[in-house]
Amino acid sequence: MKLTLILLGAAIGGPLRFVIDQKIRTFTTKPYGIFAVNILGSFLLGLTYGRAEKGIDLFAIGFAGAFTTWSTFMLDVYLAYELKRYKEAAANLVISLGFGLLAAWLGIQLAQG
Amino acid sequence: MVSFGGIAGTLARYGIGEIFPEDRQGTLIANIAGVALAAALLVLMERRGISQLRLLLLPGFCAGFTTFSAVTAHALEPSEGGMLFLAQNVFFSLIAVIVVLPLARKVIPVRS
Repeated sequence: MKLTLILLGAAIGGPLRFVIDQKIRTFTTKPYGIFAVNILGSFLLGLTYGRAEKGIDLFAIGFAGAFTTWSTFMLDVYLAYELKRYKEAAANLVISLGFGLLAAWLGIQLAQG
Repeated sequence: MVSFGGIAGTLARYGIGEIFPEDRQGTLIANIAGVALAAALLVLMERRGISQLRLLLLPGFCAGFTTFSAVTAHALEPSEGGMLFLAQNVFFSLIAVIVVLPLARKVIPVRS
């Protein structure tokens, strides 16, 4: 049951990330879509902090896990570096992690509140 | 396609979590392995142009297998070494791309 709820979340989180990313990549070559998804997902996972028993939390954990992505993020950073867009690579890395941490922290604070 | 890949990726990450019960360890391993796999697949797909499979494997499996939210959330947990965990994810993932991407470009031939 636990796994079913996590997978159900993932079944929705994955495609939603894809749709958002595709949509935003039609406006810009920069990875704003993945940035937005990762920040939102970090906040959401933060909200489940310390309570992984209820169904909705398990669903949210599965959703946030598949909604956010590390592989696309890292490939975006590296490919920008390879194209000699050093500033973009560094900015993506620092800003994504900075805001990701902030968003997760906010979520955790709210969860404990 | 993306959904199926995402479910499979999440299952694989869950499986790794069962083998390595420590949360941070499981996430780190899934992320490094996922980045390495994604780098290799990216080259393969670029050169072979497999589009349906691409959706299943890249934004589906690899992106669902790896996760950003667990990195930021686990980094903030009260247990020590959160920032080290974050740095390990970044460092080893970039090493994985730097090693795998050129290797894949060498190994996978360009088809005209």
